[in-house]
Amino acid sequence: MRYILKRLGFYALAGWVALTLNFFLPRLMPGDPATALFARFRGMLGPEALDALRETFGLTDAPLIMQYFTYLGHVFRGDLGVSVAYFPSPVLDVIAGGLVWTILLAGTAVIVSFAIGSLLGVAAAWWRFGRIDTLMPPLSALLGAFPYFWLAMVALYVFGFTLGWFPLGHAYGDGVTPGFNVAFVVDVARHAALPVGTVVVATIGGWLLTMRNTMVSVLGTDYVNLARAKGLSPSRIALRYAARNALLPSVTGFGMALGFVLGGSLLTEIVFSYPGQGYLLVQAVRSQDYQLMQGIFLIITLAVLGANFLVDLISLWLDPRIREATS
Amino acid sequence: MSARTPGAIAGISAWADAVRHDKRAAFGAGVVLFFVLLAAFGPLFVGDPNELVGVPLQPPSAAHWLGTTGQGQDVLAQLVVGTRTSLLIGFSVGLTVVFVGALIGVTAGYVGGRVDGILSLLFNVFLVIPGLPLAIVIAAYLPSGPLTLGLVLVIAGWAWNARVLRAQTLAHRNRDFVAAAVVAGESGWRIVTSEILPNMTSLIVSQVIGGTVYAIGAQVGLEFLDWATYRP
Repeated sequence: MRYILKRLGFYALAGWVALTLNFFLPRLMPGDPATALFARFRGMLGPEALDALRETFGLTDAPLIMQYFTYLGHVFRGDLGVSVAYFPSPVLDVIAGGLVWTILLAGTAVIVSFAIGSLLGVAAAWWRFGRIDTLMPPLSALLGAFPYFWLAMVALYVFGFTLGWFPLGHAYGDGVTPGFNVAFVVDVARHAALPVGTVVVATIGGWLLTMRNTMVSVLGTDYVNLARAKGLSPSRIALRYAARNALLPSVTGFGMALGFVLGGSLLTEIVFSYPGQGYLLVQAVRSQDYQLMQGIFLIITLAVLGANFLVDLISLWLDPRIREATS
Repeated sequence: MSARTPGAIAGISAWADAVRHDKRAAFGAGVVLFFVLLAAFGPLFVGDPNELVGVPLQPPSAAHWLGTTGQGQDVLAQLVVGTRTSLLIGFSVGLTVVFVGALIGVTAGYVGGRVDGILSLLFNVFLVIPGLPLAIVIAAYLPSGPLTLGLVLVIAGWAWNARVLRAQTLAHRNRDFVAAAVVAGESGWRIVTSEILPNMTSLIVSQVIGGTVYAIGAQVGLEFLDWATYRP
Protein backbone atom coordinates (compact mmCIF):
# COMPACT_ATOMS: atom_id res chain seq x y z
CA MET A 1 0.00 0.00 0.00
CA ARG A 2 2.83 2.37 0.87
CA TYR A 3 4.46 1.43 -2.40
CA ILE A 4 1.31 2.33 -4.33
CA LEU A 5 1.03 5.68 -2.55
CA LYS A 6 4.69 6.40 -3.24
CA ARG A 7 4.30 5.68 -6.94
CA LEU A 8 1.08 7.70 -7.04
CA GLY A 9 2.95 10.62 -5.44
CA PHE A 10 5.68 10.35 -8.04
CA TYR A 11 3.22 10.40 -10.93
CA ALA A 12 1.38 13.33 -9.38
CA LEU A 13 4.70 15.17 -9.21
CA ALA A 14 5.56 14.27 -12.82
CA GLY A 15 2.12 15.46 -13.89
CA TRP A 16 2.68 18.71 -12.03
CA VAL A 17 6.06 19.19 -13.77
CA ALA A 18 4.36 18.69 -17.14
CA LEU A 19 1.65 21.21 -16.20
CA THR A 20 4.24 23.73 -15.07
CA LEU A 21 6.33 23.25 -18.21
CA ASN A 22 3.17 23.82 -20.18
CA PHE A 23 2.57 27.05 -18.31
CA PHE A 24 6.05 28.52 -18.50
CA LEU A 25 7.04 27.47 -22.04
CA PRO A 26 4.90 30.04 -23.87
CA ARG A 27 5.88 32.71 -21.35
CA LEU A 28 9.64 32.15 -21.57
CA MET A 29 9.85 31.96 -25.34
CA PRO A 30 10.42 34.93 -27.60
CA GLY A 31 7.09 36.23 -28.92
CA ASP A 32 3.79 35.11 -27.43
CA PRO A 33 1.11 33.07 -29.16
CA ALA A 34 -1.39 35.94 -29.11
CA THR A 35 0.98 38.24 -31.01
CA ALA A 36 1.79 35.45 -33.48
CA LEU A 37 -1.90 34.91 -34.12
CA PHE A 38 -2.43 38.66 -34.37
CA ALA A 39 0.33 38.89 -36.96
CA ARG A 40 -1.30 36.14 -39.02
CA PHE A 41 -4.33 38.34 -39.61
CA ARG A 42 -2.09 41.08 -41.05
CA GLY A 43 -3.77 44.14 -39.62
CA MET A 44 -7.30 42.90 -40.09
CA LEU A 45 -7.71 42.95 -36.31
CA GLY A 46 -7.69 46.08 -34.19
CA PRO A 47 -5.38 46.53 -31.18
CA GLU A 48 -8.27 45.81 -28.83
CA ALA A 49 -8.53 42.38 -30.45
CA LEU A 50 -4.92 41.73 -29.43
CA ASP A 51 -5.83 42.39 -25.81
CA ALA A 52 -8.80 40.04 -26.12
CA LEU A 53 -6.56 37.38 -27.63
CA ARG A 54 -4.02 37.74 -24.85
CA GLU A 55 -6.89 37.37 -22.41
CA THR A 56 -8.00 34.07 -23.97
CA PHE A 57 -4.45 32.76 -23.78
CA GLY A 58 -4.30 33.74 -20.12
CA LEU A 59 -1.52 36.22 -20.82
CA THR A 60 -2.95 38.93 -18.60
CA ASP A 61 -1.08 41.68 -16.79
CA ALA A 62 -1.67 39.92 -13.48
CA PRO A 63 1.45 38.78 -11.61
CA LEU A 64 2.89 35.51 -12.92
CA ILE A 65 1.94 33.59 -9.81
CA MET A 66 -1.70 34.66 -10.15
CA GLN A 67 -1.69 33.65 -13.81
CA TYR A 68 -0.26 30.30 -12.75
CA PHE A 69 -3.06 29.58 -10.29
CA THR A 70 -5.70 30.73 -12.76
CA TYR A 71 -4.15 28.32 -15.27
CA LEU A 72 -4.12 25.41 -12.80
CA GLY A 73 -7.74 26.14 -11.91
CA HIS A 74 -8.73 26.04 -15.58
CA VAL A 75 -6.90 22.77 -16.19
CA PHE A 76 -8.52 21.05 -13.21
CA ARG A 77 -11.92 22.06 -14.49
CA GLY A 78 -10.99 20.45 -17.82
CA ASP A 79 -10.80 23.81 -19.55
CA LEU A 80 -7.79 23.72 -21.87
CA GLY A 81 -8.84 26.76 -23.86
CA VAL A 82 -10.29 27.15 -27.32
CA SER A 83 -8.68 25.71 -30.42
CA VAL A 84 -7.76 28.18 -33.14
CA ALA A 85 -7.41 25.60 -35.90
CA TYR A 86 -10.82 24.11 -35.12
CA PHE A 87 -12.40 27.36 -33.90
CA PRO A 88 -14.62 27.55 -31.89
CA SER A 89 -14.34 23.99 -30.53
CA PRO A 90 -12.80 23.71 -27.06
CA VAL A 91 -9.39 22.04 -27.11
CA LEU A 92 -10.63 19.18 -24.91
CA ASP A 93 -13.34 18.22 -27.43
CA VAL A 94 -10.87 18.29 -30.32
CA ILE A 95 -8.43 16.08 -28.42
CA ALA A 96 -11.13 13.65 -27.30
CA GLY A 97 -11.98 13.06 -30.96
CA GLY A 98 -8.46 11.88 -31.72
CA LEU A 99 -7.55 10.20 -28.46
CA VAL A 100 -9.55 7.02 -29.10
CA TRP A 101 -7.66 6.36 -32.33
CA THR A 102 -4.25 7.00 -30.82
CA ILE A 103 -4.93 4.73 -27.85
CA LEU A 104 -6.29 2.05 -30.17
CA LEU A 105 -3.22 2.31 -32.42
CA ALA A 106 -0.48 2.61 -29.79
CA GLY A 107 -2.15 0.23 -27.33
CA THR A 108 -2.64 -2.54 -29.88
CA ALA A 109 0.88 -2.07 -31.25
CA VAL A 110 2.56 -2.23 -27.83
CA ILE A 111 0.58 -5.25 -26.68
CA VAL A 112 1.06 -7.21 -29.91
CA SER A 113 4.76 -6.36 -30.06
CA PHE A 114 5.24 -7.27 -26.40
CA ALA A 115 3.41 -10.57 -26.74
CA ILE A 116 5.06 -11.76 -29.96
CA GLY A 117 8.50 -10.42 -29.02
CA SER A 118 8.47 -12.03 -25.59
CA LEU A 119 7.23 -15.36 -26.96
CA LEU A 120 9.96 -15.35 -29.59
CA GLY A 121 12.46 -14.49 -26.85
CA VAL A 122 11.30 -17.50 -24.83
CA ALA A 123 11.59 -19.71 -27.90
CA ALA A 124 15.05 -18.35 -28.75
CA ALA A 125 16.34 -19.03 -25.24
CA TRP A 126 14.68 -22.44 -25.00
CA TRP A 127 16.10 -23.69 -28.30
CA ARG A 128 19.37 -21.86 -27.84
CA PHE A 129 21.54 -21.63 -30.97
CA GLY A 130 18.53 -22.99 -32.85
CA ARG A 131 16.96 -21.42 -35.90
CA ILE A 132 14.96 -18.74 -34.09
CA ASP A 133 17.92 -17.82 -31.91
CA THR A 134 20.33 -17.33 -34.81
CA LEU A 135 17.89 -15.67 -37.20
CA MET A 136 15.52 -13.45 -35.24
CA PRO A 137 17.79 -11.21 -33.09
CA PRO A 138 19.91 -9.88 -36.01
CA LEU A 139 16.85 -9.57 -38.25
CA SER A 140 14.82 -7.60 -35.72
CA ALA A 141 17.84 -5.44 -34.88
CA LEU A 142 18.25 -4.67 -38.58
CA LEU A 143 14.57 -3.72 -38.97
CA GLY A 144 14.70 -1.63 -35.80
CA ALA A 145 17.73 0.28 -37.06
CA PHE A 146 15.87 1.90 -39.96
CA PRO A 147 14.28 5.27 -39.26
CA TYR A 148 10.74 4.31 -38.31
CA PHE A 149 8.92 6.63 -40.70
CA TRP A 150 11.01 5.35 -43.62
CA LEU A 151 10.03 1.77 -42.80
CA ALA A 152 6.41 2.92 -42.55
CA MET A 153 6.52 4.69 -45.91
CA VAL A 154 8.07 1.67 -47.62
CA ALA A 155 5.36 -0.55 -46.13
CA LEU A 156 2.68 1.90 -47.22
CA TYR A 157 4.13 2.03 -50.73
CA VAL A 158 4.56 -1.72 -51.15
CA PHE A 159 1.52 -3.14 -49.34
CA GLY A 160 -0.83 -0.22 -49.73
CA PHE A 161 0.00 1.35 -53.05
CA THR A 162 1.67 -1.29 -55.24
CA LEU A 163 -0.05 -4.44 -53.99
CA GLY A 164 -3.23 -2.72 -52.83
CA TRP A 165 -3.72 -5.10 -49.90
CA PHE A 166 -4.42 -2.34 -47.41
CA PRO A 167 -6.08 1.10 -47.56
CA LEU A 168 -3.73 4.10 -47.92
CA GLY A 169 -4.93 6.10 -44.94
CA HIS A 170 -7.56 7.16 -42.41
CA ALA A 171 -9.06 5.09 -39.63
CA TYR A 172 -12.06 3.78 -41.57
CA GLY A 173 -13.47 4.07 -45.07
CA ASP A 174 -16.35 6.17 -46.36
CA GLY A 175 -18.59 3.15 -47.02
CA VAL A 176 -19.16 2.10 -43.41
CA THR A 177 -21.18 3.66 -40.60
CA PRO A 178 -19.33 4.05 -37.28
CA GLY A 179 -20.79 1.86 -34.56
CA PHE A 180 -20.67 -1.67 -33.26
CA ASN A 181 -21.32 -3.54 -36.47
CA VAL A 182 -19.19 -6.18 -38.16
CA ALA A 183 -18.48 -4.15 -41.29
CA PHE A 184 -17.15 -1.22 -39.28
CA VAL A 185 -14.94 -3.31 -36.99
CA VAL A 186 -13.47 -5.21 -39.95
CA ASP A 187 -12.85 -1.95 -41.76
CA VAL A 188 -11.13 -0.37 -38.75
CA ALA A 189 -8.94 -3.46 -38.38
CA ARG A 190 -8.01 -3.32 -42.07
CA HIS A 191 -7.05 0.34 -41.72
CA ALA A 192 -5.07 -0.28 -38.53
CA ALA A 193 -3.18 -3.30 -39.86
CA LEU A 194 -0.36 -1.44 -41.61
CA PRO A 195 0.25 1.23 -38.93
CA VAL A 196 0.19 -1.35 -36.14
CA GLY A 197 2.24 -3.81 -38.18
CA THR A 198 5.04 -1.33 -38.86
CA VAL A 199 5.28 -0.29 -35.20
CA VAL A 200 5.39 -3.97 -34.19
CA VAL A 201 8.15 -4.72 -36.69
CA ALA A 202 10.19 -1.72 -35.53
CA THR A 203 9.87 -2.42 -31.80
CA ILE A 204 9.76 -6.21 -31.53
CA GLY A 205 13.55 -6.58 -31.35
CA GLY A 206 13.80 -4.94 -27.93
CA TRP A 207 11.29 -7.32 -26.34
CA LEU A 208 12.87 -10.31 -28.02
CA LEU A 209 16.38 -9.53 -26.79
CA THR A 210 15.36 -8.58 -23.23
CA MET A 211 13.28 -11.72 -22.88
CA ARG A 212 15.88 -13.97 -24.46
CA ASN A 213 18.71 -12.70 -22.25
CA THR A 214 16.78 -12.90 -18.97
CA MET A 215 15.39 -16.27 -19.97
CA VAL A 216 18.87 -17.64 -20.65
CA SER A 217 20.01 -16.74 -17.16
CA VAL A 218 16.82 -18.00 -15.53
CA LEU A 219 17.18 -21.34 -17.35
CA GLY A 220 20.53 -21.78 -15.58
CA THR A 221 19.07 -21.44 -12.08
CA ASP A 222 18.71 -24.30 -9.60
CA TYR A 223 14.94 -24.33 -9.44
CA VAL A 224 14.72 -24.88 -13.20
CA ASN A 225 17.20 -27.75 -12.87
CA LEU A 226 15.10 -29.15 -10.07
CA ALA A 227 12.00 -28.91 -12.25
CA ARG A 228 13.81 -30.81 -14.98
CA ALA A 229 14.98 -33.42 -12.48
CA LYS A 230 11.40 -33.89 -11.30
CA GLY A 231 10.55 -34.76 -14.89
CA LEU A 232 8.06 -31.97 -15.49
CA SER A 233 6.95 -31.47 -19.06
CA PRO A 234 9.18 -29.12 -21.12
CA SER A 235 6.32 -26.72 -21.87
CA ARG A 236 5.53 -26.45 -18.17
CA ILE A 237 9.18 -25.72 -17.31
CA ALA A 238 9.55 -23.22 -20.14
CA LEU A 239 6.36 -21.27 -19.52
CA ARG A 240 5.35 -21.69 -15.88
CA TYR A 241 8.81 -21.90 -14.30
CA ALA A 242 11.21 -19.93 -16.47
CA ALA A 243 9.22 -17.50 -18.62
CA ARG A 244 7.06 -16.31 -15.76
CA ASN A 245 10.10 -15.20 -13.80
CA ALA A 246 11.99 -13.92 -16.82
CA LEU A 247 9.06 -11.69 -17.72
CA LEU A 248 9.62 -9.23 -14.86
CA PRO A 249 12.26 -6.99 -16.49
CA SER A 250 10.13 -6.83 -19.64
CA VAL A 251 7.08 -5.74 -17.63
CA THR A 252 9.14 -2.98 -16.04
CA GLY A 253 10.15 -1.83 -19.51
CA PHE A 254 6.55 -1.95 -20.69
CA GLY A 255 5.59 1.39 -19.14
CA MET A 256 8.49 3.20 -20.70
CA ALA A 257 7.82 1.56 -24.06
CA LEU A 258 4.25 2.80 -23.93
CA GLY A 259 5.41 6.37 -23.65
CA PHE A 260 7.87 5.77 -26.45
CA VAL A 261 5.25 4.27 -28.73
CA LEU A 262 2.65 6.94 -27.86
CA GLY A 263 5.23 9.57 -28.78
CA GLY A 264 6.34 7.59 -31.82
CA SER A 265 2.75 7.12 -32.94
CA LEU A 266 2.87 10.78 -33.95
CA LEU A 267 5.05 9.69 -36.88
CA THR A 268 2.87 6.65 -37.58
CA GLU A 269 -0.26 8.75 -37.76
CA ILE A 270 1.31 11.23 -40.13
CA VAL A 271 2.59 8.58 -42.53
CA PHE A 272 -0.77 6.78 -42.57
CA SER A 273 -2.97 9.92 -42.27
CA TYR A 274 -4.46 8.34 -39.17
CA PRO A 275 -6.75 10.79 -37.32
CA GLY A 276 -5.14 10.58 -33.85
CA GLN A 277 -3.15 12.89 -31.59
CA GLY A 278 -0.14 13.06 -33.90
CA TYR A 279 -2.22 14.19 -36.81
CA LEU A 280 -3.87 16.81 -34.59
CA LEU A 281 -0.49 17.93 -33.28
CA VAL A 282 0.74 18.53 -36.80
CA GLN A 283 -2.40 20.51 -37.57
CA ALA A 284 -1.81 22.50 -34.39
CA VAL A 285 1.83 23.28 -35.17
CA ARG A 286 1.02 24.15 -38.75
CA SER A 287 -1.67 26.64 -37.79
CA GLN A 288 0.21 27.86 -34.69
CA ASP A 289 -2.62 26.63 -32.52
CA TYR A 290 -0.65 26.81 -29.26
CA GLN A 291 -3.58 25.94 -27.01
CA LEU A 292 -4.27 22.73 -28.89
CA MET A 293 -0.57 21.87 -29.07
CA GLN A 294 -0.15 22.16 -25.31
CA GLY A 295 -3.38 20.36 -24.64
CA ILE A 296 -2.17 17.41 -26.71
CA PHE A 297 1.18 17.36 -24.92
CA LEU A 298 -0.61 17.40 -21.57
CA ILE A 299 -3.03 14.62 -22.50
CA ILE A 300 -0.30 12.41 -23.97
CA THR A 301 1.79 12.91 -20.84
CA LEU A 302 -1.13 12.10 -18.54
CA ALA A 303 -1.90 9.00 -20.61
CA VAL A 304 1.70 7.83 -20.28
CA LEU A 305 1.71 8.49 -16.53
CA GLY A 306 -1.51 6.54 -16.13
CA ALA A 307 -0.15 3.62 -18.13
CA ASN A 308 3.03 3.59 -16.05
CA PHE A 309 1.01 3.45 -12.87
CA LEU A 310 -0.94 0.53 -14.27
CA VAL A 311 2.32 -1.25 -15.04
CA ASP A 312 3.47 -0.64 -11.46
CA LEU A 313 0.30 -2.29 -10.20
CA ILE A 314 0.84 -5.24 -12.55
CA SER A 315 4.43 -5.80 -11.45
CA LEU A 316 3.29 -5.56 -7.85
CA TRP A 317 0.85 -8.34 -8.59
CA LEU A 318 3.42 -10.41 -10.52
CA ASP A 319 6.38 -10.04 -8.18
CA PRO A 320 5.88 -11.00 -4.54
CA ARG A 321 9.32 -9.56 -3.69
CA ILE A 322 8.11 -5.97 -4.28
CA ARG A 323 5.09 -6.67 -2.10
CA GLU A 324 7.23 -8.04 0.72
CA ALA A 325 9.85 -5.32 0.52
CA THR A 326 7.24 -2.63 0.99
CA SER A 327 4.68 -4.15 3.31
CA MET B 1 50.61 17.69 -19.81
CA SER B 2 53.95 16.74 -21.31
CA ALA B 3 54.21 13.80 -18.93
CA ARG B 4 50.91 12.45 -20.22
CA THR B 5 51.59 12.81 -23.93
CA PRO B 6 53.53 9.52 -24.39
CA GLY B 7 50.68 7.77 -22.61
CA ALA B 8 48.16 9.35 -24.94
CA ILE B 9 50.16 8.34 -28.01
CA ALA B 10 50.52 4.82 -26.67
CA GLY B 11 46.77 4.78 -26.09
CA ILE B 12 46.00 5.86 -29.64
CA SER B 13 48.39 3.36 -31.19
CA ALA B 14 46.97 0.59 -29.01
CA TRP B 15 43.51 1.59 -30.19
CA ALA B 16 44.64 1.60 -33.83
CA ASP B 17 46.13 -1.86 -33.29
CA ALA B 18 42.90 -3.15 -31.81
CA VAL B 19 40.92 -1.75 -34.75
CA ARG B 20 43.32 -3.37 -37.23
CA HIS B 21 42.99 -6.77 -35.62
CA ASP B 22 39.25 -6.82 -34.97
CA LYS B 23 37.37 -7.19 -38.24
CA ARG B 24 34.12 -5.81 -36.87
CA ALA B 25 35.79 -2.78 -35.31
CA ALA B 26 37.68 -2.12 -38.54
CA PHE B 27 34.48 -2.30 -40.56
CA GLY B 28 32.66 0.04 -38.16
CA ALA B 29 35.53 2.52 -38.10
CA GLY B 30 35.59 2.41 -41.91
CA VAL B 31 31.87 3.22 -42.15
CA VAL B 32 32.20 6.14 -39.71
CA LEU B 33 35.31 7.42 -41.53
CA PHE B 34 33.47 7.25 -44.86
CA PHE B 35 30.62 9.40 -43.59
CA VAL B 36 32.92 11.84 -41.82
CA LEU B 37 34.91 12.34 -45.05
CA LEU B 38 31.67 12.63 -47.01
CA ALA B 39 30.40 15.29 -44.63
CA ALA B 40 33.71 17.17 -44.57
CA PHE B 41 34.61 17.23 -48.26
CA GLY B 42 31.51 16.01 -50.12
CA PRO B 43 29.77 19.41 -50.26
CA LEU B 44 32.77 20.80 -52.20
CA PHE B 45 31.95 18.53 -55.13
CA VAL B 46 28.18 18.53 -55.38
CA GLY B 47 27.17 22.18 -55.61
CA ASP B 48 24.20 23.96 -54.05
CA PRO B 49 21.61 21.42 -52.85
CA ASN B 50 18.74 23.90 -53.17
CA GLU B 51 19.48 24.91 -56.75
CA LEU B 52 16.86 23.86 -59.28
CA VAL B 53 18.89 21.82 -61.72
CA GLY B 54 16.44 19.85 -63.78
CA VAL B 55 13.01 18.40 -64.37
CA PRO B 56 11.29 17.38 -61.08
CA LEU B 57 11.05 13.71 -60.05
CA GLN B 58 13.55 12.25 -62.51
CA PRO B 59 14.93 8.72 -62.03
CA PRO B 60 18.71 8.34 -61.52
CA SER B 61 20.77 9.36 -64.55
CA ALA B 62 24.37 10.23 -65.47
CA ALA B 63 23.79 13.91 -64.71
CA HIS B 64 21.91 13.26 -61.45
CA TRP B 65 23.13 10.01 -59.91
CA LEU B 66 20.19 9.69 -57.53
CA GLY B 67 17.63 11.58 -59.61
CA THR B 68 15.83 14.81 -58.72
CA THR B 69 13.35 15.85 -56.01
CA GLY B 70 9.78 17.01 -56.45
CA GLN B 71 11.09 20.53 -57.00
CA GLY B 72 13.85 19.56 -59.39
CA GLN B 73 16.82 19.61 -57.02
CA ASP B 74 19.64 17.08 -57.14
CA VAL B 75 19.00 14.30 -54.58
CA LEU B 76 22.68 13.37 -54.26
CA ALA B 77 23.65 16.97 -53.45
CA GLN B 78 20.95 17.15 -50.79
CA LEU B 79 22.05 13.83 -49.34
CA VAL B 80 25.71 14.85 -49.13
CA VAL B 81 25.06 18.28 -47.62
CA GLY B 82 22.48 16.78 -45.25
CA THR B 83 25.08 14.29 -44.00
CA ARG B 84 27.04 17.23 -42.62
CA THR B 85 24.11 18.50 -40.51
CA SER B 86 23.18 15.00 -39.39
CA LEU B 87 26.70 14.14 -38.23
CA LEU B 88 27.25 17.52 -36.60
CA ILE B 89 24.01 17.34 -34.62
CA GLY B 90 24.51 13.62 -33.97
CA PHE B 91 27.97 13.93 -32.45
CA SER B 92 27.38 17.18 -30.56
CA VAL B 93 24.08 16.02 -29.08
CA GLY B 94 25.56 12.58 -28.33
CA LEU B 95 28.39 14.21 -26.38
CA THR B 96 26.15 16.75 -24.65
CA VAL B 97 23.52 14.28 -23.41
CA VAL B 98 26.26 12.12 -21.88
CA PHE B 99 27.97 15.18 -20.38
CA VAL B 100 24.74 16.42 -18.78
CA GLY B 101 23.81 12.88 -17.79
CA ALA B 102 27.23 12.32 -16.21
CA LEU B 103 27.13 15.63 -14.38
CA ILE B 104 23.76 14.90 -12.82
CA GLY B 105 24.00 11.13 -12.53
CA VAL B 106 27.48 11.01 -10.99
CA THR B 107 26.69 13.88 -8.62
CA ALA B 108 23.53 12.10 -7.48
CA GLY B 109 25.33 8.79 -7.05
CA TYR B 110 28.42 10.18 -5.33
CA VAL B 111 26.91 12.81 -3.03
CA GLY B 112 23.90 10.72 -2.10
CA GLY B 113 21.36 11.71 0.53
CA ARG B 114 18.98 14.53 -0.20
CA VAL B 115 20.86 15.67 -3.33
CA ASP B 116 20.48 12.17 -4.73
CA GLY B 117 16.78 12.20 -3.89
CA ILE B 118 16.14 15.46 -5.72
CA LEU B 119 18.30 14.68 -8.78
CA SER B 120 16.88 11.16 -9.09
CA LEU B 121 13.39 12.57 -8.96
CA LEU B 122 14.35 15.05 -11.68
CA PHE B 123 15.63 12.48 -14.17
CA ASN B 124 12.87 10.02 -13.36
CA VAL B 125 10.30 12.71 -14.14
CA PHE B 126 12.05 13.50 -17.43
CA LEU B 127 12.19 9.80 -18.25
CA VAL B 128 8.47 9.35 -17.82
CA ILE B 129 7.42 12.46 -19.80
CA PRO B 130 7.22 11.36 -23.46
CA GLY B 131 10.18 12.83 -25.33
CA LEU B 132 8.96 13.41 -28.87
CA PRO B 133 5.83 15.42 -27.97
CA LEU B 134 7.89 17.49 -25.51
CA ALA B 135 10.49 18.14 -28.20
CA ILE B 136 7.83 19.22 -30.69
CA VAL B 137 6.14 21.58 -28.24
CA ILE B 138 9.43 23.24 -27.26
CA ALA B 139 10.58 23.44 -30.88
CA ALA B 140 7.31 25.09 -31.90
CA TYR B 141 8.12 28.11 -29.74
CA LEU B 142 11.72 28.52 -30.89
CA PRO B 143 13.00 29.77 -34.24
CA SER B 144 13.67 26.67 -36.36
CA GLY B 145 17.32 25.81 -36.97
CA PRO B 146 20.06 23.36 -35.99
CA LEU B 147 20.63 25.01 -32.59
CA THR B 148 16.98 24.62 -31.59
CA LEU B 149 17.01 21.04 -32.82
CA GLY B 150 20.11 20.23 -30.76
CA LEU B 151 18.74 21.90 -27.64
CA VAL B 152 15.42 20.11 -27.90
CA LEU B 153 17.12 16.74 -28.40
CA VAL B 154 19.31 17.27 -25.33
CA ILE B 155 16.32 18.25 -23.17
CA ALA B 156 14.40 15.18 -24.29
CA GLY B 157 17.32 12.75 -24.12
CA TRP B 158 19.69 13.29 -21.18
CA ALA B 159 17.72 11.54 -18.44
CA TRP B 160 18.45 7.95 -19.41
CA ASN B 161 22.23 8.53 -19.27
CA ALA B 162 21.90 10.15 -15.85
CA ARG B 163 20.00 7.15 -14.54
CA VAL B 164 22.51 4.57 -15.80
CA LEU B 165 25.55 6.57 -14.65
CA ARG B 166 24.04 7.13 -11.21
CA ALA B 167 23.55 3.39 -10.75
CA GLN B 168 27.11 2.73 -11.91
CA THR B 169 28.54 5.41 -9.60
CA LEU B 170 26.66 3.89 -6.68
CA ALA B 171 28.21 0.53 -7.48
CA HIS B 172 31.73 2.01 -7.61
CA ARG B 173 31.28 4.18 -4.57
CA ASN B 174 31.47 1.29 -2.15
CA ARG B 175 34.50 -0.37 -3.76
CA ASP B 176 37.78 -0.59 -1.88
CA PHE B 177 39.78 1.70 -4.14
CA VAL B 178 37.34 4.53 -3.53
CA ALA B 179 37.46 3.90 0.22
CA ALA B 180 41.28 3.99 -0.01
CA ALA B 181 41.15 7.32 -1.83
CA VAL B 182 38.82 8.72 0.83
CA VAL B 183 41.17 7.56 3.58
CA ALA B 184 44.13 9.06 1.69
CA GLY B 185 42.33 12.39 1.99
CA GLU B 186 41.65 13.01 -1.69
CA SER B 187 39.04 15.64 -2.50
CA GLY B 188 35.62 14.58 -3.71
CA TRP B 189 36.24 16.17 -7.11
CA ARG B 190 39.48 14.23 -7.53
CA ILE B 191 37.90 10.96 -6.45
CA VAL B 192 35.14 11.41 -9.00
CA THR B 193 37.34 12.52 -11.90
CA SER B 194 40.35 10.28 -11.43
CA GLU B 195 39.04 7.27 -9.51
CA ILE B 196 35.41 6.71 -10.48
CA LEU B 197 35.03 8.17 -13.99
CA PRO B 198 38.05 6.34 -15.51
CA ASN B 199 36.48 3.08 -14.35
CA MET B 200 33.35 3.88 -16.29
CA THR B 201 35.11 4.78 -19.55
CA SER B 202 33.71 1.88 -21.56
CA LEU B 203 30.19 2.64 -20.33
CA ILE B 204 30.55 6.33 -21.14
CA VAL B 205 31.91 5.63 -24.62
CA SER B 206 29.05 3.27 -25.36
CA GLN B 207 26.65 5.92 -24.07
CA VAL B 208 28.13 8.51 -26.42
CA ILE B 209 27.61 6.09 -29.30
CA GLY B 210 24.06 5.36 -28.14
CA GLY B 211 23.41 9.08 -27.72
CA THR B 212 24.68 9.81 -31.22
CA VAL B 213 22.45 7.12 -32.69
CA TYR B 214 19.49 8.52 -30.73
CA ALA B 215 20.24 12.07 -31.86
CA ILE B 216 20.52 11.21 -35.54
CA GLY B 217 17.35 9.10 -35.43
CA ALA B 218 15.32 11.64 -33.47
CA GLN B 219 16.59 14.50 -35.59
CA VAL B 220 15.50 12.73 -38.76
CA GLY B 221 12.10 12.10 -37.17
CA LEU B 222 11.72 15.75 -36.18
CA GLU B 223 12.88 16.96 -39.59
CA PHE B 224 10.33 14.64 -41.13
CA LEU B 225 7.62 16.19 -38.93
CA ASP B 226 8.94 19.64 -39.74
CA TRP B 227 8.47 18.86 -43.37
CA ALA B 228 4.95 17.70 -42.58
CA THR B 229 4.36 20.75 -40.40
CA TYR B 230 6.01 23.29 -42.67
CA ARG B 231 5.83 26.64 -40.92
CA PRO B 232 5.84 29.81 -43.03
